[in-house]
Amino acid sequence: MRKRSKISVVFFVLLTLSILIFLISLTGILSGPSSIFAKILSPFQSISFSGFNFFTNSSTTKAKIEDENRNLISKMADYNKLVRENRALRDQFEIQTPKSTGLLPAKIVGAPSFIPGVTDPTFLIIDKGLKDRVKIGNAVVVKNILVGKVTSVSDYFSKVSIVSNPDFLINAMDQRTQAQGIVKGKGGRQLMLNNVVQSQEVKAGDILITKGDQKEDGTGFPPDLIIGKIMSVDKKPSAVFQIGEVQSPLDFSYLSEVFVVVY
Amino acid sequence: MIILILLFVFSIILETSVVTIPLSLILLLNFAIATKKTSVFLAGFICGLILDILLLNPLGQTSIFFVVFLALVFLYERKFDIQTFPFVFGSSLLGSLSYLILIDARYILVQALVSALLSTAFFWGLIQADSLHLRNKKMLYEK
Repeated sequence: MRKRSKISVVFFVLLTLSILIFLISLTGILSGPSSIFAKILSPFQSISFSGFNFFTNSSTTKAKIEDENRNLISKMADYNKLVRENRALRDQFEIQTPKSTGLLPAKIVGAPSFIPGVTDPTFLIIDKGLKDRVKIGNAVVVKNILVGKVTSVSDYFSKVSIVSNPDFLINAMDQRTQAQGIVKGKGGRQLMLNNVVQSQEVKAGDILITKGDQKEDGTGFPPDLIIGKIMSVDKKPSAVFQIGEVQSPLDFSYLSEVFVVVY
Repeated sequence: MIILILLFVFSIILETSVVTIPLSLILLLNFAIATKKTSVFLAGFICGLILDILLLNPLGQTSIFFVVFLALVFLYERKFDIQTFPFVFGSSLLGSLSYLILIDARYILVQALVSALLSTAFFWGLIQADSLHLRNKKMLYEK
């Protein structure tokens, strides 16, 4: 009987304490101490992630092929962009997107997934935070390929939601035809293109880029970042919109470093 | 005790860097079932806080889940024998399922099933270790 009452007391005390901490943390008061604690523990987290990443990367040549593929898609996108720009006689825009001065390199310290190296993570933890000018809503890239956006930030770390997350929505544009639509994550490396009106042309093999919706404070997505490649298009005359399957050129489980677009 | 702390540290580091399977939850459950001590609540509270800090979740969120989950386990202990394989499997499955929904993970059902199997295997390991310990003690006593 005494043991039972002891359990009840311990339970209620700790539950109340947890709820209190939860409520206080929503105000942001605890972000300082928790950031310091996270900074102390992050080397272990980083070692663990790097160890698994090295193990999964070194076992196959898949990573090399993936990297080559990413480079080719990136070059193809750059080429298409130049053609478009020349055609429009806008030589003043002959610059890389995003500007390299606005890129902040960040190391991934955590990317939990079901089976490391096999299934893709849903989010990444990177070693840059408020102290490095990272804000919620900043785009995260590798080369000129979109990885995701910052959804949560502490003093020294940030959480990045990956573009293929089912709750991820972004305005997209076909690089070849300028057809516009909305891309939604489907999990893994798969995305779905929707809201493309029937009169616009999209076809398998086209590259989708960000339309660009950057705000004054630097948050949001810059234009011309590669989202993925259209794998198939479903165009039904009876439907209002065309839909398509899109695949990101990135294998998120093999990433170890990313860049945050800060301005 | 040191082994237990090391196991908790190891599971937290893995959970925050490479895997989404709730290893800490499995450990807490097995710790609660095997020892039936109230200190497991404190372990759950601390583990939850560390997980929230490293995963940049609102602080206390995971602690609330762990403390409530452990309280439910102890509530069952009043009426049923909880040191059985079906209970370990069932509670791990339901606990993992709820936790994975809370953290918005993918492949929820498969992951919960894998967690339940892992937890049951760990419980079997604990029983084996305990019986080996008892046998050694008995042999020493007979000598």
